[in-house]
Amino acid sequence: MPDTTFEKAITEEIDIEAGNRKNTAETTARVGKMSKEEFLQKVMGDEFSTEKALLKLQNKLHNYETKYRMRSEVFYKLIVGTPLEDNPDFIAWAMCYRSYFRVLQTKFAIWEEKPYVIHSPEVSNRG
Amino acid sequence: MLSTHQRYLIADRCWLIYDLITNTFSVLDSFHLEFPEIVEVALASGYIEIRVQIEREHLLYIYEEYSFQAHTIVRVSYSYNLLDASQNNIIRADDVPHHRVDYRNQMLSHFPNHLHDEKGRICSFTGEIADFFHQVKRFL
Repeated sequence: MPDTTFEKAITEEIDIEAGNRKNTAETTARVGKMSKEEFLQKVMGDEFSTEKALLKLQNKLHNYETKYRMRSEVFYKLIVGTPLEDNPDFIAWAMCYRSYFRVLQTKFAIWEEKPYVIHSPEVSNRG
Repeated sequence: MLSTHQRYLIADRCWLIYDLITNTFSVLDSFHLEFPEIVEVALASGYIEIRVQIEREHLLYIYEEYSFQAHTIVRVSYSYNLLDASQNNIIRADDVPHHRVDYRNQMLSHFPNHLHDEKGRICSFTGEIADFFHQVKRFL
């Protein structure tokens, strides 16, 4: 007597493999220039991840720091704004550093600011 | 956090760059797959960094940083670079304001935009990415 559970499992596995092959084939077939609609759908529809962006920027900063053996904050204070800045790596490093802080500020932004209440001094009725 | 409108403006600018690159040069298929991920960082940070191989032996490095003024996007800083296979710069353009004149001692036509030519000389440059690509084509 055939083991129906086993047969079912094998059939499911084959289906999954066929599905995977189909997806790979679709991806390969779709490699090529995106249309603007496709592009916008991809980038605007995706889950927005500040964490992911921070991590990527951190990695880039780390690469510059390793290459030039200098911390980013030291680089920014010493080089940016001086003629030495006119170097392709330094220009990109400065942009990356500013952007990193922009994202960091976003992450720790205060969303609901409580209104600053000014308490008027109590007027005492004397007399 | 950037608003949806601001993110759309960045995406639109990124599309313009992507469209220009792919219409002007031949790129590897992988670039089309990687590009949305590159843009993802730009949408969070207002900074895009594109490194793409063009015409087999050359590399194009594009960096742009954005800001917003009255619902419009402003490119606050940029650096465009053409490199050879050994990653040596051939020509590059940026807007770092440390040059006022070109190598012939003439005022830069679009200060602070300038281009470092293949001999390392400072030349006038409009600041437009399309103009940079036009210059790049001379070396391909």
